[in-house]
Amino acid sequence: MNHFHSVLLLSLVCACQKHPSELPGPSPAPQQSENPMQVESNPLKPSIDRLHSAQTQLESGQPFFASGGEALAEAHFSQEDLALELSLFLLTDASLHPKWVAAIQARAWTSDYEVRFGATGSVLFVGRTPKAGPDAVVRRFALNDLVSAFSGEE
Amino acid sequence: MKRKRNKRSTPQADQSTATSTAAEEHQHTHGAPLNQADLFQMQNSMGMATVSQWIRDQPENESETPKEEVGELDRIIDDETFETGLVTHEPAQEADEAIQNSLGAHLVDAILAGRQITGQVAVVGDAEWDAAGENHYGRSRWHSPRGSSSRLYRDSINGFVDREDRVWIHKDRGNSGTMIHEAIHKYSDPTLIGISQPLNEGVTEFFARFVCTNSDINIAHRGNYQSNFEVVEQMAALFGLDLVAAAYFSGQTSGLSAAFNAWTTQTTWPQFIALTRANDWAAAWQVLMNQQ
Repeated sequence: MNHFHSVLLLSLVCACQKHPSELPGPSPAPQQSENPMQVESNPLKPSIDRLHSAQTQLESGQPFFASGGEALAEAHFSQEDLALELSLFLLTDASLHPKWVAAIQARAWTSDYEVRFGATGSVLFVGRTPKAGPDAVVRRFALNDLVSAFSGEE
Repeated sequence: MKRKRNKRSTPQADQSTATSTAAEEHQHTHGAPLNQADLFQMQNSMGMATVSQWIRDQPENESETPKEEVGELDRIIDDETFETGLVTHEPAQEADEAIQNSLGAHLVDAILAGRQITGQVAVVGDAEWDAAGENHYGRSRWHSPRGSSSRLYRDSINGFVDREDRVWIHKDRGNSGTMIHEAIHKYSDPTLIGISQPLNEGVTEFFARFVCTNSDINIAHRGNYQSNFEVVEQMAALFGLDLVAAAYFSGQTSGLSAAFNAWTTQTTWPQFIALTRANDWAAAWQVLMNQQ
């Protein structure tokens, strides 16, 4: 397990602790954040594994879109040098993806950001980076690589 | 109507083989390994038709799957297995109808060649997914980490076309555009994939989103092949959808390369293709945006 993966796993644990009572399944959310074995059973882990292939240096981040507690689980990441922010939300049903996307697209800040959505199964990816500023193209395509890696090959 | 699959004789089967390319991390989901650099050189010197014949003549990879299990895979497809899962995948027949309604004028050759996804796809759960994946990729590879990442082959893919031209989609993965994307592959000519597999994926995704949009299939949450898609979308804006379609569905890439070369003298078509093959999408994008 390299540094990147360790950071992601720790981030996931922290994110899960935000809404422990809303996690699915008979087991409660992990309470001991340093125990990766408890993270292994989390439903967002396969999605985080997919992000891993994008070769970015994501770290734990803050949500830029409040789920209002409607997600079963969520995780938030950022990469400061590329001004990337992204969140993963485990929804109760894949049919909810369009509703969530519409709600996010209605936010005023979206006009200032490149915003990308991705979905596989019941997990929704939301990522953003500012449209303006130096290296905008590099940041935009780094975000694209992340959403592509999350979304999976077909 | 169910059509019989043509094992190792259809353009899609040729495409599947040509798809597999140089680097393992770029191994495509539609075929067995083949050195694409060699293929590209051969293509330049021999022409695509000759290369296609060469691909056709190559022996199949030795399958690790017993024959009775291979027969079971055929049965799963022939039964048009469509398991219910987390994702509501588009029914195959509706995918064919949507594609033909949206792109009919570009599909004459493909339809005459009998290309479609109906009768050639199964939406399956883990057991069948593993059986199909092990048969196509090999058991050890299918359960191995991919490149330097911890994700396994079996977990990084939502759907794939195997060397028998069968399409496999996981019932719990992908999204509302997955079936359309796989179906678009079925209508493609193998020429473009032999030139650049990543560009071919971008064109596939471009037409998949085009069809979904025309068919009121909500794909606002779709981010598959996002970089590839955005570059191809810009190509279509610059050179026209008709030229992109002719290259993809009929193998007529000369029109697209000629349009590119007429548009700029600062970057050659082979240089641009090289950027797409390297997945350097930011650079490819800047070529399309910056040059007059």
